[in-house]
Amino acid sequence: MGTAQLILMQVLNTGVIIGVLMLVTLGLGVIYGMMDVLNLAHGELLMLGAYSVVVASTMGLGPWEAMIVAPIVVGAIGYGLERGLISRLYRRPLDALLATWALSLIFTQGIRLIFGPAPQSVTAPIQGAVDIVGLPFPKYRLFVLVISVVLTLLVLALFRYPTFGVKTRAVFQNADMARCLGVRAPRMYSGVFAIGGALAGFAGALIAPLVTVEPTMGAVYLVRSFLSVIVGGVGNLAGVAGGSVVIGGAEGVIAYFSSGVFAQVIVLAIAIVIVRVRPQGIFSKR
Amino acid sequence: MLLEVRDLGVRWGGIWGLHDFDLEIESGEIHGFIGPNGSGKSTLFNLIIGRYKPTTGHVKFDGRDLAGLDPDQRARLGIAVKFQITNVFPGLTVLENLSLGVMGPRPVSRLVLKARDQAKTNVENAKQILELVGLQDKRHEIAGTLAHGEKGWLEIGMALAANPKLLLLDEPAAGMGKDETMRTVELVQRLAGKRTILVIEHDMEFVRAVAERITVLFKGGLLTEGSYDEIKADERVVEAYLGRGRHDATA
Amino acid sequence: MKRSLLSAGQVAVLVVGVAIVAFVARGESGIQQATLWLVLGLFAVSVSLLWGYAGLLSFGQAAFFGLGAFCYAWATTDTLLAEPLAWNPALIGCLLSILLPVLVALAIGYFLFYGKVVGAYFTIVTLALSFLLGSLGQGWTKVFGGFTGIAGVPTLSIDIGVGTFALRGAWSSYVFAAVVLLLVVALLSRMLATPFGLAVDGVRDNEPRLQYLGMSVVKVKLATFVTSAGIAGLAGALFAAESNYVASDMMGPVLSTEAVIWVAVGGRRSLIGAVLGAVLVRAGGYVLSGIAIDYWMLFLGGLLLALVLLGSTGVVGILQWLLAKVSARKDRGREAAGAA
Repeated sequence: MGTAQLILMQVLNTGVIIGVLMLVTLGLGVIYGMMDVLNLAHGELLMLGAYSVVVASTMGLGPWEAMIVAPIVVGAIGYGLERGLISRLYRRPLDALLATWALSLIFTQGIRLIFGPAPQSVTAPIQGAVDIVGLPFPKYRLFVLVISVVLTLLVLALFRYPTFGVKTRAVFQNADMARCLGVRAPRMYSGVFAIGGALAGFAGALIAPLVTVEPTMGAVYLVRSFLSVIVGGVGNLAGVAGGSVVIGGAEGVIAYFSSGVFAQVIVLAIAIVIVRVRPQGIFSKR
Repeated sequence: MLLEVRDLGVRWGGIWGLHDFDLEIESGEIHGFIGPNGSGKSTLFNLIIGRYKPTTGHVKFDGRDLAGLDPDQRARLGIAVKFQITNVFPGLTVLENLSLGVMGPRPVSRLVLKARDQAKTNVENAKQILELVGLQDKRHEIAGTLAHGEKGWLEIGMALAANPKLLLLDEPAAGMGKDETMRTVELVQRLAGKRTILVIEHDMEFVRAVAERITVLFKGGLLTEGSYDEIKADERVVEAYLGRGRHDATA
Repeated sequence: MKRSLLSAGQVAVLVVGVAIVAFVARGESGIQQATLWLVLGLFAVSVSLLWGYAGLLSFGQAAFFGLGAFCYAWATTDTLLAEPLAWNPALIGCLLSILLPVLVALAIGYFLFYGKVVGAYFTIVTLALSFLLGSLGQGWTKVFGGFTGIAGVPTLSIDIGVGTFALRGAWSSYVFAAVVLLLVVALLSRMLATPFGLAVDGVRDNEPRLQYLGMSVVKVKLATFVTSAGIAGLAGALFAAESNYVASDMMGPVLSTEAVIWVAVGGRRSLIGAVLGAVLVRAGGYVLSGIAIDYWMLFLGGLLLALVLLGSTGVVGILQWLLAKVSARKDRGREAAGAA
């Protein structure tokens, strides 16, 4: 196998990581940017998406149906969470942090009690590999890459679209002012949380056939997506996506040359440096 | 010259919060700043204390350029501030608030190593300030429970506690009734001569009572400067406040 | 002076109470467990200092606890070095267990605080660091014993020239842990009663304001962070000496989160509250076992959530509230009696 081919493989694999990370981070970023809530349970929303697929297939649904069900279920959970819990914590950011952390604990333990700690197996809806420059690349991975990029672009477009997009961006930038102008902020908040949850849930469903599905699977995505948000810039969705590219890409590249743990160390160090040098994030317009 | 400002400006996105601003303040002076909302008065203060970083120009305090200095470093040079929106330690008592004001500029190591002496000095100095701002009866009250006016005096007290060379007061009489405003005027007048004070206010009587010279700002820039009478007679000032085509000269 | 004696006194009462309950319930093995609770209480004290007093929520304090435990293990076993240290390995181990976390905290804190990483960002970074250390510990088998950890860590035995001070038996270990805990609590209370303590309060209450008053808040935060790390490290060493075992999950996010829960339950701005929280939660976990443990964790998550939503100040807060009610009623009663 030639070096160029290996590199291409690694690029594609990194692309899958970045793609999924973008979906998760978008969900997190919208919630943080709009409501200043750092949702520490976001990783668990991804996990719930993966488990939704497990449940759906036990109930006899096909893998494609399961993949549709997951974001709906987790989106609904997100909506419920916002109405029941998050809405009480808007003026208390550190308390919100603790509360969502407690929530993540509850979700993890709850799933562990229901399903047990052992990993679940999920079959990919698409089997087989495709030939890319002479090397086999799993079709499903390609699918994940493509759909996550497409979905990311769709979400970015949605937030630019008149009416919904403008309203949300207004609330994004100045909630009180937007309210004065008649935008119904509370409804927006629940809606955004639902969207964030749906995105995470869908990401979970996407990666379920590719990774180990167990109760603590969400944690690593949580850290990665927070770093992406911090690095990419808050208040700017495209920036958040850009941050995912930076973080996911860095980790993928470094992990190729050394170990996964070393990659995590370097990526964290890079993130801290960026926060120090440009606190508003790389892609922020401030 | 205690404070020298040259060409000072700050820009956010497409808007200049302050531009081409020059200012000279002599030691011991009490200088007023007036202007409509959004004219850049608080922005000027924020640039001096280091809350914002300037886009252009510089600020020199006691001959020293403040560029690159953090807020706490500037405060240790002798600059103190009372903010427009009252900013105290809401969970601590009045006495504790003032003690923090007293010990603010002290080196942290001394707080640990010479604890007993520090504690004594802190309390003594804090008590003096208590009397100055008239809050002796409230010294064990939690600052967050004070009335609005009292919080304002507390913050002025905190700003005075470390014996600053330059005191910045941003709307010290904001939200105060007639009596409270009088008391604040008296407080500032008592400080006259001993310190250099910059005061932002909307209350014209207040400015007239305390300030020797007044700078008028408008839309982020310097409009004019002079004594109260000079300012009052200046048509441009009237226009700035009331808009074109109005005749009422009472500001 | 008064306040520090009071705090120490409260802890003394707690220590005696726990001993009685543990012994009555499970005899000597109960005392053994209780010793671990006290040591974890010491760890909780370090979290309370950082979070309750300075307002810095860290999800990674166990990193220092674990490092301290490993320092003790490295000095007293042949994991890292060819053989345990020749002279007083336990003592060196304990000293290292304070020194290494202090140095690490100095480095990390310097970077984070001078880098103006504050509030929620600080919390997230500590979380990331915590995950990192956890994986590092699991992967680096030579140093951290990998998945299985380091076993056979000896109990505390210090050569003091004229003889050996060794902890033999459950009771001596318990008393030793209690004494260390009391000393630390007394010293900390003393420190918090000084102007430095007031500065720490100021950082928690309104950090920017303190900056505009001229205080170098970075130094205050750094000093608190480093002190907290040292205490956590010492607790780790004592834990290693007592449980004779060290593993990489002592550095990771699970223990860090637990510590936050202990402090939240007991009362975050209270040193004795921290100890109380640790003891209560750990004792609770000890009483349950097997499947019930998972339910217990679920319950703890729910408890934390409830505490946050209700803005509760933990058990200590509730006790203080009750005391206030009781004394108010007493005053009213006295007034009525006086009027009659």
